[in-house]
Amino acid sequence: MRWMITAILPLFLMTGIVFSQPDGQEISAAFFEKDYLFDVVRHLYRWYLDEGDIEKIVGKKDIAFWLRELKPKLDSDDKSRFGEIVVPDLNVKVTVKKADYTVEELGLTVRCDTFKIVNVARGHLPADASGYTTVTASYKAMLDYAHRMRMQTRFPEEELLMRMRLSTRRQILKYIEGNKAATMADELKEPQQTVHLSPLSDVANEVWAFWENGRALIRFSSDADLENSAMWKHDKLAVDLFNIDEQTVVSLDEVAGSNAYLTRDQVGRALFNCIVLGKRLTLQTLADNDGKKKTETKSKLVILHQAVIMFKLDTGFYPSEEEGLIALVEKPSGLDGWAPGGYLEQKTIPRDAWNNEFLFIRNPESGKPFAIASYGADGVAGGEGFNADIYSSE
Amino acid sequence: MDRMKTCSGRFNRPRLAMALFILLAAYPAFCPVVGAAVALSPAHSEAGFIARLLLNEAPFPGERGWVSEDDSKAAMLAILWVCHSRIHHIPPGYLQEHIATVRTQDIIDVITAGGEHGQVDGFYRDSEGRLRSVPRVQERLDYLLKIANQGRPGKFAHLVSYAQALADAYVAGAMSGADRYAGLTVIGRVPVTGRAYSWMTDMDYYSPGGNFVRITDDLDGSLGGNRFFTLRRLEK
Repeated sequence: MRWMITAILPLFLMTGIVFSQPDGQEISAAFFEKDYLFDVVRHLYRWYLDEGDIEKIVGKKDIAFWLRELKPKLDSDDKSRFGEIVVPDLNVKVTVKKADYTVEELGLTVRCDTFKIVNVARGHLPADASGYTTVTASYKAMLDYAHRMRMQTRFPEEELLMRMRLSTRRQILKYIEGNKAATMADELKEPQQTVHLSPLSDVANEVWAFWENGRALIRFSSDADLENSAMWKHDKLAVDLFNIDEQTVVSLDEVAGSNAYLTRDQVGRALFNCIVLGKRLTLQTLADNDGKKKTETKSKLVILHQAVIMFKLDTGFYPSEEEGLIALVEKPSGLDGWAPGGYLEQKTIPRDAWNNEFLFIRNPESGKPFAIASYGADGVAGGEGFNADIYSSE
Repeated sequence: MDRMKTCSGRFNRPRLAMALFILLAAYPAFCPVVGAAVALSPAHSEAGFIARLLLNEAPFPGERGWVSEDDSKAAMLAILWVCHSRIHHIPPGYLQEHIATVRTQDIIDVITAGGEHGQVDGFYRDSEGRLRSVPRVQERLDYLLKIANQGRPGKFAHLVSYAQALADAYVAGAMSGADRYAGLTVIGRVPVTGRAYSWMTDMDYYSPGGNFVRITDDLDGSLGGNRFFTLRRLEK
């Protein structure tokens, strides 16, 4: 047996899989700071608390926070920290995480500057504070802060907003595409779709959007900071879509055992944050009624156009005319930041609905930095009706 | 005993140990060749459909709910046990319809019960009985597979392979791991049946209702960004 240990032990030691130990580093002091805890309460105030929760603590002098570090077994290369915040007076337990690891496959560093909320649970609290560090704060100061900040909002800067727009539009296109077989509501055929984006949170990597025409909620959430632009290269891993009409119930007891539903309370809070506190965006989509092939071609142009924008956001450059659209699926040499796997679902550039190649034009007459064009049904420049040229920048 | 002695006489132990060590240590270098192609069984097959369900419900690195590779694998196994228990471990006093909203011996029926937004969101049979997942699910799975097949096999490849292996074993009649919740008898002061019969994503501010009882953190009730639920034990 000893020889086997002799053989295998060094391997385990090399990989650190079995014998890795916690590094003993103390949890960040910021975790215990009242400013941070107040921001957590502010997030709860915005997304979870109701009148009934506040009524229970009205008149209290102090409010206690029970804090402790959690130590789940992590992968050997993961330096993330986890914590737990119990607010007994609000009957809430919050799990937080300060992510610190690298996803090699994605070329993505997931590192958060602060602890971010990853879970909020009602009830199931510990019986007492043993094993926790207690921080006490003035109830009035806390509530004043939550009240004062209740309408204060922060929205993404231009680049992040662009990425969110693109991602949201892609979700909408995908949804419309998936619902083509069914009778599409008139609202979905509108060329402009309206979306309301909730404010950013300082303590949670989560943003919701309400898609008005589609009556759906779209949730962006990630382990990485949403403001980390690299995360948006992989937004397929960060998006959920809930159809409000079909997936809302008053009580989950109605659909016991199912994991497909949101409660009306959750939906109501999301709508408040998106519509009342949020930012209204208008997105151009594919729909018009000029004929199936024209619509299909426009849809492809939208996808290609946003792929070129993603290419620019990632690499800092637009493809040259020489490189053309193929640069979306084949990495041009000497270019940094190009997303692994490229910018399209498929490995080839699609053709328009009349089976002609799209044209990629830099600095077109429109003054835009680029345009992608189809020559329409006749496949030659100019023309009217279905023969007219179609531009992605239109 | 004699046989062992004979064996030990034939082999030089330190050399064998060194050879085995070198072999194991060198293994990762061959991984790109050996393990680069990670694939799922066809989506319309039983094993392919189950594997997709498991992958869809478990977080990958970078996603909300990610803790570790082991945690996501544990979540997949626990979810498969939920589906299995909804068929084969109906507790006394309950009917399968109460728990799974369907009466069946087929795990695919358990997964697709209730349609597109049924028991498992996004997994359903279409009007012609074909197995389907919604485009959002398919898109994520395609992306996971694409990433899993790039470069050296890493956590993405490990998780995809694990899900398919779990599903393959299940279809072949085996479960590749124990049900960690099988022995539960009491949670808090609530007598429970043991085993998990439901899971929900990590927005566990609310419970799934009915007789489902939340499995608490100290009992490993939270795995892979999911919360697992057992059932209240009914009086005889």
